[in-house]
Amino acid sequence: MLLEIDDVCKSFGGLRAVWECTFSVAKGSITGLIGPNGAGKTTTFNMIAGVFKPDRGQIRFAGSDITGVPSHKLFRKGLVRTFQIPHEFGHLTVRDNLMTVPPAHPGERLFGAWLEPAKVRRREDEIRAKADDVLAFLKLSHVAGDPAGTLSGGQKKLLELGRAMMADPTLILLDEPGAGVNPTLLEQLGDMIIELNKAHGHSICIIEHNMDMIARLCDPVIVMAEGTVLTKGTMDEVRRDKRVLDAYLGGGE
Amino acid sequence: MSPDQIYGLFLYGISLLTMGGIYALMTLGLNMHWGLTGILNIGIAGFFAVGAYTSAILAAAPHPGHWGGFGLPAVLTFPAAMVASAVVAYGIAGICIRLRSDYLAIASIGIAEILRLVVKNAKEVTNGTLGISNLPRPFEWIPGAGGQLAFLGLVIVLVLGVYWLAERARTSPWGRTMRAIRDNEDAARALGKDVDAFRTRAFVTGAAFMGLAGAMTAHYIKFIGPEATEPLQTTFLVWVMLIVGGSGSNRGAILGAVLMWTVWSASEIVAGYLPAELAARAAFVRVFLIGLVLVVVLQRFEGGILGPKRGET
Repeated sequence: MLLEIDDVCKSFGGLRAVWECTFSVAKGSITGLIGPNGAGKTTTFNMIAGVFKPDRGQIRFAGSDITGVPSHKLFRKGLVRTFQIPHEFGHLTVRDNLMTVPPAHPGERLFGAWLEPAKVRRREDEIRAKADDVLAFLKLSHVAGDPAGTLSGGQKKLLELGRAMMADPTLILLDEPGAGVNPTLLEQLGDMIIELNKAHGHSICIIEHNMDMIARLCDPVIVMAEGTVLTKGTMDEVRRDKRVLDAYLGGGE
Repeated sequence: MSPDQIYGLFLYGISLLTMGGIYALMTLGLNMHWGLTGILNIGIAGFFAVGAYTSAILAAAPHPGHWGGFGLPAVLTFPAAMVASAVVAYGIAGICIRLRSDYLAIASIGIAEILRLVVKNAKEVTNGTLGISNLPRPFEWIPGAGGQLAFLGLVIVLVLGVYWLAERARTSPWGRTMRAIRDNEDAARALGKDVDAFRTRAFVTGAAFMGLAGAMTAHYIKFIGPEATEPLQTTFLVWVMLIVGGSGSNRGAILGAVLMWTVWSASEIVAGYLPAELAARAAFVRVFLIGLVLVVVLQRFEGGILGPKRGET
């Protein structure tokens, strides 16, 4: 298993956001994480991504314990996340948003910026070529030079995905990539995620409310409700589970 | 005008540019802190003082009242001043760099005040309120105006050097990541950027420039005392200079420094012509004039003279 969430708990004051939550993401899979609002999905993502430290439990990534490891270190281990609400660098151009991502850039150290111009330029050329490939893949080449803040909501979602691609990660955590995206673009976004998984070999874990998208992309699907895992299976299995319906409709109490 | 008057004006022009240039070193440092990184540093005087006293103690002749007597040349004491300010900044960053900008601002005021009181009270080190005098000024062995001209030349070379470093940093991938951090810190962290480390580097580098300015000032006026670390002359003026010139722009930082120093310096002359009953309040008139220029400039140029236009970064 690439990612293992083991008996993880997190409370905010008296609110149990996540409680004894256990699931895993297999290498090479597109795992879906669904559940009604307030089920604890994003809190779980934030714990995996190092934003919050769990009160209890362990999170393992590629065999090593990453519980409470800060975001920037997880990135270097090959784990990258996108945000539910786009977190673009608004004043940077779309291309610069992508070019900021690759780590260990000699020009990102002041010493390199001042004294190694040739080395910095070489690396910049490589990164620019890669960024342009990603922009072409996302069909964003025509806005490459625009400030990212001027993009539409859907384009910003694509940019989030693009920044994750620039990192060559082992695992991408996508937090509601489809929210606020128009149906045509949503179709494209689905194709892109499948291609990222099949052709580029990234393992992916998605939180999403669009069930058609989940059905198309994800196997397995994990259902969360009230801070814990309710069930797990293929989309068809999950759909037939009465408990899932109850959780969404708020019945079965 | 008599030849004497013209010569006097010439010397005045040299001193104007010299001090304007020294202030430019500080505005370039502050632009690194505020314009590039968003660190609200209101403790500029502290870094200025650390640089000034470091260089003064290393360069002064032996004196029973304070440490020093090493008699080292400026070539060594100026870099030492930069290193000392950088080390102090590094220590402060370790404590405060995680604070949000408004809290960091309060912390920086506090730290600058602590440094000022240390300077005033650590008599055996700094000679207390008497200060350290008879500091050597580079090139003072050149007779006539030559020495002052040569010192101005040194200031210009240093300003150009610091400008090059600051501009190179701003336009490099390092500067790009700094802007990304300013735009969205959480995203930068998720993309592997060690935000605190980046901000610390900007803070330390800017502080080194301020320390250099402190050392230059001490040796230029050949004296350093605690009043040089009062916030009005350093912190307040430097902020006004950067805002007038255009925060975010290194050229704006230099322009603002020279321009506002000229206004500040000329206001002393103007204050001399005030009627007797106002002359006693000349100091307030000068501050008022600075405020007036600030307001007038910001009316015309929203982001400072060379700063970003509306809608730009």
